[in-house]
Amino acid sequence: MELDEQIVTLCQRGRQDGFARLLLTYQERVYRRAYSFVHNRDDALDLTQEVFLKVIRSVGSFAAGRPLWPWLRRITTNVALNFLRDRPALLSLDGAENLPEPAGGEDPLDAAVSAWTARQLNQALANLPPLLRMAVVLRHHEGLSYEEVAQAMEVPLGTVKTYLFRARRALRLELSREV
Amino acid sequence: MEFTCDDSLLQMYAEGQLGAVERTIMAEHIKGCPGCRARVVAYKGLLWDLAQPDPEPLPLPPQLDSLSDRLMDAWTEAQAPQTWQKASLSWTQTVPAVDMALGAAGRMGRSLPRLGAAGLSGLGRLLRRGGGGR
Repeated sequence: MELDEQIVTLCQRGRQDGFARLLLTYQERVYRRAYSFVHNRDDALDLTQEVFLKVIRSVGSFAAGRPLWPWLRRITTNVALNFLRDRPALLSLDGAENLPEPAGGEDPLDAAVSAWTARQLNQALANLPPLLRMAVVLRHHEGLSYEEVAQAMEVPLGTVKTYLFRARRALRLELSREV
Repeated sequence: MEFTCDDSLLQMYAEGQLGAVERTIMAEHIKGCPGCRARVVAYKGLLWDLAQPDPEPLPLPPQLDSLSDRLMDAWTEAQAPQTWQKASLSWTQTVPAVDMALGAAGRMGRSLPRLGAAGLSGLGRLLRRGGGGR
């Protein structure tokens, strides 16, 4: 928090070292978050650039003392949403979430083991339609409430619940096939 | 199939999002429903794993370094007008210059050749210098 305040204060004085510290502190995090939304390296780099160009434009009006990450996350989410809106094919919700329930139900013992690996989980996340993945990332990686996810994604609360239910069901079904 | 076998309710139960009454009903239901019990266990495991830090963090692309350099250039260009403006001028009065700089940086796009040789070259030099100049 103190670091954030220093960064913002320096940036608002037009200091180059302030912006350099902003990049050093947050560029990787913004890139990783952008990548988690679009799952493509070049697109994530483009989005990262766009995020920081917006920061250059608006850091002057940012209230020093507030944490920077929620602001940067909001910009990153907005930029990613605009990116997806420009590519209607990516907005489709069809995909892995349409997997059928395994016939005959599940074996409680198999499910209890929960033996999927982090790599399998990441792959299953990558296979989700982007909007479902974004909801999962904001809810479970960023720890936002349902209401905050709805606000971030600019959709009604009920839509976020639908996204999350479909996404988590898809993840469960895909992972249950792998263990 | 009962209403309590609904997958969204099971998720809400696993996530602790149900109210007290619904939670009690669901708890009773899953005692006698192995399929739902299995799903709840799976969802709890999934929610736990999603909340954990990734043990295999995404490797960072080398282009991130040259992007840093380009962004520093955009910052420098955006600040340039302030060198002759009065100190009391508000930030917003520099917006046209920022827009010009952003336009130039935006036009660079991803096709720009890499500028930095390795590491956070430009940023590292700047911070080692500890300079506050523009």
